Amino acid sequence: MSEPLLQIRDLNVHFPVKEGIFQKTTGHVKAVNGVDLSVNKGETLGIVGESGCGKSTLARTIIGLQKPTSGDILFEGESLPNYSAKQMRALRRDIQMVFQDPFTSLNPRMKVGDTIAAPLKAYKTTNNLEHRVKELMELVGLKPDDHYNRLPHEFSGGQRQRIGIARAIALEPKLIICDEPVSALDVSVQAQVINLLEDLQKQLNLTYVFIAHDLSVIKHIADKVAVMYLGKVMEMSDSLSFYKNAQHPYTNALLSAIPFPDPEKERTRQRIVLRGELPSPADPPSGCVFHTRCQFAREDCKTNTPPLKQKGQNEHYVACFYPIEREQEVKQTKL
Amino acid sequence: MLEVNDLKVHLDTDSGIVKAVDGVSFTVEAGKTIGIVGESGSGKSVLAMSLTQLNPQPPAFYPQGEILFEGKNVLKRTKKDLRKIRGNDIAMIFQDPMSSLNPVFNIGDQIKEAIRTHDKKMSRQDVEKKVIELLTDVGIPDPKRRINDYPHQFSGGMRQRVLIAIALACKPKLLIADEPTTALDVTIQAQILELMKDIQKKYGTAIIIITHDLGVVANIADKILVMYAGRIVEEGSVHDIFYRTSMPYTWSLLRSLPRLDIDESERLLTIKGQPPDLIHPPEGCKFNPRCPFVSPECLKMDPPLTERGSNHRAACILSNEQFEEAKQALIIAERKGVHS
Ligand SMILES: Nc1ncnc2c1ncn2[C@@H]1O[C@H](COP(=O)(O)OP(=O)(O)OP(=O)(O)O)[C@@H](O)[C@H]1O
Ligand SMILES: Nc1ncnc2c1ncn2[C@@H]1O[C@H](COP(=O)(O)OP(=O)(O)OP(=O)(O)O)[C@@H](O)[C@H]1O
Ligand code: SF4
Ligand SMILES: [Mg+2]
Ligand SMILES: [Mg+2]
Repeated sequence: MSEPLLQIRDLNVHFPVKEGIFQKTTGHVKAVNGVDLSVNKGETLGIVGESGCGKSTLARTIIGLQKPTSGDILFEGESLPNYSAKQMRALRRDIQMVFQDPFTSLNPRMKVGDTIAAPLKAYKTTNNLEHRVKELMELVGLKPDDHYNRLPHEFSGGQRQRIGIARAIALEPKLIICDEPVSALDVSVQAQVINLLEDLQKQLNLTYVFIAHDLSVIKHIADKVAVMYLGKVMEMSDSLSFYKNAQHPYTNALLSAIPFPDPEKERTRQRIVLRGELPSPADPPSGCVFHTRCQFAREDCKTNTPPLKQKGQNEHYVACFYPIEREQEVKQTKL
Repeated sequence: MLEVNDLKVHLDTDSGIVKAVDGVSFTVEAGKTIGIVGESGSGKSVLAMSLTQLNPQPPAFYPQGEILFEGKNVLKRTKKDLRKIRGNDIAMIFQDPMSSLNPVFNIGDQIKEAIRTHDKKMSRQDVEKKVIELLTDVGIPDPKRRINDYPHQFSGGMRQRVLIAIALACKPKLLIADEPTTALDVTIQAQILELMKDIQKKYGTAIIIITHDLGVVANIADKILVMYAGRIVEEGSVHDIFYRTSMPYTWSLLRSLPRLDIDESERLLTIKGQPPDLIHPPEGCKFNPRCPFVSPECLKMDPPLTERGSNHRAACILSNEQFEEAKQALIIAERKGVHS
């Protein structure tokens, strides 16, 4: 087994909620609320969850843009919050980020070639800058000679995402955090970018944390999947076991909400329709944070918090007192 | 009920004429749901807005075609007529519910306003009752209390429900929903799609739903129009489009989806290139630069929609048989490519 490149231990990121003219702190948004995760070298960890569940906050904390409230992040075994300034600078090379919105993450007045060259210049990693930039452009499927001197607005969304990816891989990082990199793209272009990310992973031995709200995209790209809800991990597993045997009621609700592009299947399938709304992260429910919307919730779910526990022999973890056990379910319906 | 004939909607911009809708025909039947699918920039929103003349003119202009609503051409109606159509017959909801709600009025007042536009004679009490009934219909819990709340106090999904309530206030014959669930989480999307189906059952409203999500139309549509570069390139029942696909673009799009319901190949299949520029669209078939089956013919002529079955049409020079053969050949070539 390969070793973990990144380990996250009991991570908390809380934002104060300020109110009134004196901006008194009246509470906290627990954007990330006790998260444990690990990612092995060369792997892709997919993180899914609905809007506001803390995915981007987690990403920003990993690359050091956001200070954790408590908990630990280990990169290659060393604790990030304790990094020296020098280590931090090295880390900025090793961990890169690709953002959702290729339109706002690029400087509109900077030529594409210069955008990709910027990190190379900052770290003086090459003495033939132009050659390296063109090499990178080639690698992400841009045309070096044609595109080098153009401005971002002359590119389509998919091409801009390629520019962002070229910039992210320029310093040969070890880990790339992709925060919804294909969410803003058209289906036909989305597939191109997913394939590109997969090819680059193989060629450059990259590790990805891939954030998305679309479980079908995650299914395609991830080796391991974590589902978040209100700042907590609800279920985590290797992809195969996850999609064959999702056990958390929330995961099952998410999976069953995604419409299949097949009318017969789509119109005859059984659905778990979630009732109600996402509770406010400033005032999350007691006990299991999902209990207000869970159809399997019992009394103890309202008061006790289920820990993320291993189920079976696999690396499959579920935070639920009454997980859905598929094998059993199937047997019961057969009887 | 609605009949669109050979409609063109062009936009006069600084960089040239954008042929956003370029010769589109279709009909909408009462009580049915039509899905319009297509990639970003294919002209879906411009088409939808043109149905009630909501595109600002300029830049929009209508060089050709007609839009017949209950037999009368919308393009020839006065401003006053159009306001009446919008208040009484055709309602629209959009992707971003916040921008269609007024932030300074509470939800109750905004629904009342919509009811009064439709029915000026209704008594105050009846209006209040109607507001509660509509909010109940769209699944807002505790409506009596929520009518005093302002839009910012609602979540995205709840705001979309409020907009649907406002749309229903005028008992529309046609509801046009432009990406109504795109900004919402999937669990909320599932709720809103259910709601739209319930409403159709209860009110008999015809629905045009615009989306780029093929799963959404598989869920809700009776008939589908596939748009590409301002044109309809395939049209048919939901079964025709998904199971008897006759146009290379539709087929490629379906193949490039990452899927939950089947175990697909290692690599996603892609459509090469980018959607075309509508100021200088390609000569001939607009899909030809990206089409895996392109032949020299395709660069010369833009194929019209031709019959592929009853009420199923596709715009491609390949006949169904030729398309079938070409697909098989491509799939075999792809397999060889993988193994070599
Ligand atoms: N700087 C901040 N100050 C206060 N609250 C914040 C801040 N950043 C995020 N939050 C809150 O933390 C929660 C998690 O936000 P986050 O952006 O991480 O969610 P997300 O899962 O990335 O959502 P999305 O899918 O919409 O991108 C939200 O309730 C958000 O409002
Ligand atoms: N007001 C406008 N001025 C200039 N061009 C416009 C205007 N509105 C739309 N367009 C152009 O018309 C074309 C069709 O746009 P439209 O908004 O109908 O696409 P769409 O299919 O709805 O895309 P999306 O999925 O992104 O909503 C695009 O090329 C767009 O840039
Ligand atoms: S007409 Fe030609 S280019 Fe267009 S879809 Fe058919 S085969 Fe492809
Ligand atoms: Mg986010
Ligand atoms: Mg649109």
